Parts: sequence; C-alpha cells; structure tokens
Amino acid sequence: MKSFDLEIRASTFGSIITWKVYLEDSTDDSKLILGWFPSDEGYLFRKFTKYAIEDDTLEVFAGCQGIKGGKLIVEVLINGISQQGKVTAKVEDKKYAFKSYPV
Amino acid sequence: MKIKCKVFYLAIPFAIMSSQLKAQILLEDKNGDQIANNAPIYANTGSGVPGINLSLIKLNTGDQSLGFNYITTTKNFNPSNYRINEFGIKARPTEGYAAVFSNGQFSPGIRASYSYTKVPLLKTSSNYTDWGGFSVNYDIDRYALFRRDTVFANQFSTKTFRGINLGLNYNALINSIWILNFKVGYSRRNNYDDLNSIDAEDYNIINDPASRLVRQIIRKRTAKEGIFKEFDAYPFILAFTKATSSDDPSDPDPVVKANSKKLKIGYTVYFKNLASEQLPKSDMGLIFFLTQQDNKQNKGVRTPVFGLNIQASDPFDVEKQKNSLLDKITVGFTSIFSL
Repeated sequence: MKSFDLEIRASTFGSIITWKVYLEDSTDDSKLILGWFPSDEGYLFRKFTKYAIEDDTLEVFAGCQGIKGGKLIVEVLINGISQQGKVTAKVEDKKYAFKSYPV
Repeated sequence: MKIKCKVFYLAIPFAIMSSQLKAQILLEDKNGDQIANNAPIYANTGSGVPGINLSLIKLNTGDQSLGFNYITTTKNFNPSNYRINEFGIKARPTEGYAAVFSNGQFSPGIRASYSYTKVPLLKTSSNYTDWGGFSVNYDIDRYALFRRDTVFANQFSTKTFRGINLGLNYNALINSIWILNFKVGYSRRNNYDDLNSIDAEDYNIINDPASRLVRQIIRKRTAKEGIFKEFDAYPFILAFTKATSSDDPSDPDPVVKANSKKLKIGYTVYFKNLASEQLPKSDMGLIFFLTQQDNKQNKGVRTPVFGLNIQASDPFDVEKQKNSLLDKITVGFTSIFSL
C-alpha cells in the first residue's frame, strides 16, 4: 500500500456537456471524482491528501460528451509534482481515455 | 393599418458575468416562445468555474422585449450529472415601440419565467447525450382595444390579460454534431397579435374670439380592432440543429489551426404547431447561423454571431388564406453582441 498527496486538474476545450474522471476503476462509481474546485488559471482541481493505492501505479480514466472537436484534458500531480503526459479524452472517443502513472 | 410581420427572431442575449464572459443563444419566436433549450451546449463546464453562473440581458426584436435572465447550476456541481435553473423576467410595450415613440403610449407586458433542466436526463453515452426539463411562464399584458360599433365614449378600452404557460422539453446531442429539440406544453393565449392595428387621432378645437385664433389639440392613440378572444393552446415544437465543430488553435496541423479562427456555418430546421380551438397554426423555418470560436476565455466554445432566418408561416394553408408559398416566406437577420 502506497499513499501520497494527489491533485487532479481538469480543463475542457470546446462545448463539453458532461464529463467524468475516475481514479483506478472506471466501472466503480465510488471512484468518480466529485467536488471540483475552481482555479484562477482556468482549470478545475481536486486534491486528495494521503491517497492510498494497493499497487505501484495510479490509473486515471477520463471521458466526455459534447460537440465535435471538444476534449477534456486531465493533469495529474503526485506530491505536488506534475506527472509526464496528460490524459486527453475526445468527445468522439468510444472508450474512456486512460493513463497509468507510476508512483 | 399595420402589416402583420411574421418573421421569426432570435433572442439576442448579452452575457454579463462577474468573473467570466459567456455568450449564449436563446432561440425564441416573435411571441417570445423559446424554440430550443441549448443551455448546456454553450456552457463551458470545465473552464475554471464549476458549473454555470451567468446573467443575460436579452433583446428579442420579435416581441420587442427586453429581458433579464439568470442561469445557474446546482451548488455542488457534478459535471456528469447536474441541474440548470433559469430565472427570467422581461417587459415589452404590447403596442410596440412605434406607439411609445410616436404617441407616448405605453401598454406594459410582463413575463416572469422559470425553467429547470437536468443534464443528462435519461442517457449519456459516447454518441448520445440528452437533457431536458420543464418551464413555467406567467404573462401579464395590458392591451388597448378599439370598437367602432359602439357608442363613441366607449370605443377605446383597455384589457388586462393574465396567462400561464407550461412546457416540457427534451433535447439530445447525437453523434456529437446533431442537436434534437422537442417541446410540448400548455399555453393560455389570446388573439391580440392577429387583430388589426389602428392609429386614431382625436382633434379638439378651441376657438378664441378675442385673439381670433383657432387652436387644434391632437391626441394620437394606437389600438387593435376586432373581437378579443382568450383560449387554451397546446404548442408543439420540433427542431434539428447541425452544430459547428471546434478546432484546437494549438494543433500542429496548420489547417486545423487556421480553422479555429474562421467562421463556420451551422443551421437549424424547426417546425412549430399551435393546436387550439382556433385553427391550428404552424410555422416551418430554417436558420443559417455563423459561429465564431472563442480561443480565450471560453476555450474553444463556438457561439453564433449572425443568423439568417427563413420561415414559412402556415405552409399547408390551414388558415385558408390562399397565399402562395412564396407569399408565406419571410426572411430575418439576427446578430449577437457581447458586452
């Protein structure tokens, strides 16, 4: 079991009607991120203190619905450090966009 | 007598927001009926402020109204399941601004409105997302009426109309580009707009023997002539819109980059029917609109900036006016301004 401070930043491009970001498991609604906070930089964020995972990687899933050309961009910060590679979900995607981050 | 103009109009909203400017288009007809509920399309749900909180000043050149709308989402905003509340109030001169400017005559008409929209309503998937809800409007209108077949002193009268409008709407985004809007409801209406306008001038002549002057005092009044009726009506509105896609200005492809700065053409096809004890009224229309992409605050959201509106009123000649289709077609222009 590993624990760390986690911050998820989400921003959208284009007309996005609904969007979701899951941690670890996209089929488990308890892993859906809720309670987003605003930022002056134009993104929404959610922080988790001492977030615990059982394996060595953090999986982040993202999906969105909206007008063609729209997308959802998710940035992951572990212990305050921005991780390489963002999760980008397009409205045309049939499945959740997904990325693993080694911890 | 004024010629009745059956041009559909787009409401022209001005978006004013304390922290962020957003534009939104609200499609209304000349009676102020909302054609489409596209609030989630023009909202930017992930722009740094969770949810939607915006105030609109809305000008509809069709019913000549000026209104204020406040649109907000639920407090604990969840971008995958949220609700939109919209509160509105608008006022207009029921005789139009011509009577206000030429006669100083103002017969007020006020509409208070509330609408609730749930996003999504039934389904959200990669190629189908819906939203919908209900709306309630309450109208109080004061009208000036004229009857020539009564005693002179009673020929002008005023009438206060109170009417409630209830509506249910269902909307969906299909394959990320097509928007379906469907609306049914109940509406208490009247035939005031169908009556003939008259402009009357009363002359009062004063004769002054001492100065040998004749003074003429003119009082102008505008009213509608005919039999005023109130009735129950059941509106039905169906609309399809082809939305315009967004292009990422930071894309390495120069074509995509260039497209992000270009205007794009979309269109809306609609059918509106008003069933009542009167003859059913139907209108069909096609709106071409140009959208502009906001590459700054709203990050890629395209909003309409100009619309060309072609409408055929009563295309099936239910009202038996024997007019040709070309006679029934009217064209209107619309434009949107951001403050």
